[in-house]
Amino acid sequence: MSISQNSMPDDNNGKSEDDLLVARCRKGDMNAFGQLIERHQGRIFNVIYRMVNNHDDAMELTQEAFFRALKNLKKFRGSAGFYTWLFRIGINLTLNFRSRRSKIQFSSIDSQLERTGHQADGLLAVIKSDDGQRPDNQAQLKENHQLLLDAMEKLDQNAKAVVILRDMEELNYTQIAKILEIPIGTVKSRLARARASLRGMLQETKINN
Amino acid sequence: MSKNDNTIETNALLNAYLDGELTPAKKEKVEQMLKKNSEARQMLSDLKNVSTMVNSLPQASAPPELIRDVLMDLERDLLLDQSDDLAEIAGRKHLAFRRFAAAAAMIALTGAIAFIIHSTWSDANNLTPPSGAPNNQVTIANNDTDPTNKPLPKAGTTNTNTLEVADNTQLKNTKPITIPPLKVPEFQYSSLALIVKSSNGQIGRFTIEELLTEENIENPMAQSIDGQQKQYAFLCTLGQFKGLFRSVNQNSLHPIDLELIDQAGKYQVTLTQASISEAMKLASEGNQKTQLADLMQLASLNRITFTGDTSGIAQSMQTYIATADISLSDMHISGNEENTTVKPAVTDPNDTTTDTKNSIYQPSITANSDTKPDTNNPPPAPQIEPPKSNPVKKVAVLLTIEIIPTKPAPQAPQNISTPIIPTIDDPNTITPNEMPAPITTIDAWTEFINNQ
Repeated sequence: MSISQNSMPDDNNGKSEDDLLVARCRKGDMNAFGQLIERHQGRIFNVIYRMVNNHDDAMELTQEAFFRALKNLKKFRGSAGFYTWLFRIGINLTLNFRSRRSKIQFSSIDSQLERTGHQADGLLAVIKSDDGQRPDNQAQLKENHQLLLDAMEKLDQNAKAVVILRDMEELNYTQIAKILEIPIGTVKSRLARARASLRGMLQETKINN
Repeated sequence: MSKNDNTIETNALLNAYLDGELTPAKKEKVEQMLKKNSEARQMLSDLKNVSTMVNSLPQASAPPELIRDVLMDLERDLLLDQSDDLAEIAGRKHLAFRRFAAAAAMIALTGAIAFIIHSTWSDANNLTPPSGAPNNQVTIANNDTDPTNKPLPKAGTTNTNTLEVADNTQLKNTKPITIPPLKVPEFQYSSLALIVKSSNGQIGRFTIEELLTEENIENPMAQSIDGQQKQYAFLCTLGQFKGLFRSVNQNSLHPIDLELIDQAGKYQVTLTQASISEAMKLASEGNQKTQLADLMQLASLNRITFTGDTSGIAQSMQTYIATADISLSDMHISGNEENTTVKPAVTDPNDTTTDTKNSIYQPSITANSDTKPDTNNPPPAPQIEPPKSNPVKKVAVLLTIEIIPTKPAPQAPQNISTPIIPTIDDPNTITPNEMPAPITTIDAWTEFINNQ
């Protein structure tokens, strides 16, 4: 998946369909509810899952996000698009969820290194490679992903949300700012800080290895 | 500007350049910088690779049941909103009246319940209320196989407060079922929404009425009792009743705060918060004589996880109690407010004599998982052997729910007791002398009906 200025579904051909579905939902059309969920469940679940790094928690939060979004459709004014609104609810739920948890799960990069052994070198090689080629070895790729996830887990939740929305969902700064209800400048600074942190943690992996 | 500040600014510029968020003028300046500065080029390369790595993370797929679960929640919520709307229209003080009015048919049915049960129970077991004492005991169903059954006295007679009922063949064929009072933490508001708080703080709401509707239990009749208790009366099959409590136990994604409240009586096992902890400890040490182990052995209990809150319930307490769909129908629940005691009914599933006194139906139960309910893969329903005498019966159920406020609950009045309906078949049936103190259920209902 290449990084590009991808627009959210409600800014292209999907927008009218979302609007139609929302209108039907407001009339109590349960089928329309189902269609809205089907359209967006994959993306919202993926974002939340990457935020909490737990399948069951992500399932609960996604379900709750849809529930709140659809239950409160009468409050939805439509200015930002249903997708933005849904994501806003989901991200807020997730951020509140993480702040309430008494224990945040961390997996030690050191423990991962013990298991992956030389994988850190391969990971660093990916970082340092000029062309960004990915390892052909799928197992190594999987290990690299795990190291990345471990590093992401150590990020501040707000910064992590920005990274996920930008680099996974390929949303632009304006869209991210709408979802998170923060200024664009804050989006920029959080993203820069998050990427720098990830870069630093991944490089540190090689030093500790 | 310090070197660090320059680095931060450069970093921000490079990120924005990478993401295509720069104005054309700034973009050109950054490109000029990149041409001249190898460090900047390296930094950009690193940022690009980090971004690419994040982008390459596999997409997690939403579980297939997500749509179904969300729609179920929405439908439940719609029902809740409808009941709330009705309450707002009617006013809270008129809510009970409107429900009784709407369930006019249930008035006669309730009378049938009391009439038939009283008739059969008192006749079959020679149990009659003490003379002069109000017959507030609610009895349910009868055993039509007993040829000596006599009809219950009609309402308004001197010695009883039972309601006049019509002959109801279906009720006559029901088997008595004892429903223990169900104490529901955080059971509040006039809509009586059961608020379920999960361990992560997520809250879902549904009403007992919704639960009854889910199980296709029709026309339940409800009565509030002095603000502390609410009772529901309805006819249902045993399967529906089991399903009712199964859904309560496995509501949505969250464990349910559930307790069995108590009444005085002689029972074998006492479960208290302290005893549960101790029993668990002893059980883990292999002590087979713990109350908990005995209870589990006798009733094939499931474990229900408690999630506490500030109302006084332990933050995290696991207790072993019978699931309603397996054992509650055959168990009497009693104790005091602090304790919960459970007694299994005497069972003899092989007894096929017409005299059902010693042949209480005890379903054979397959082992259930004692782990926390898996919301993605709910445990299979226990395998229950149908009753041998009559596989499909409707039972009359009186469900008492005690409201527990979030603040520490006040001491309950001593004279309030739950109608405990001994089974005809249970040799340990409470004798008249051991009857719980008179209750006001039938009185309150009768008075209300007479005032309509």
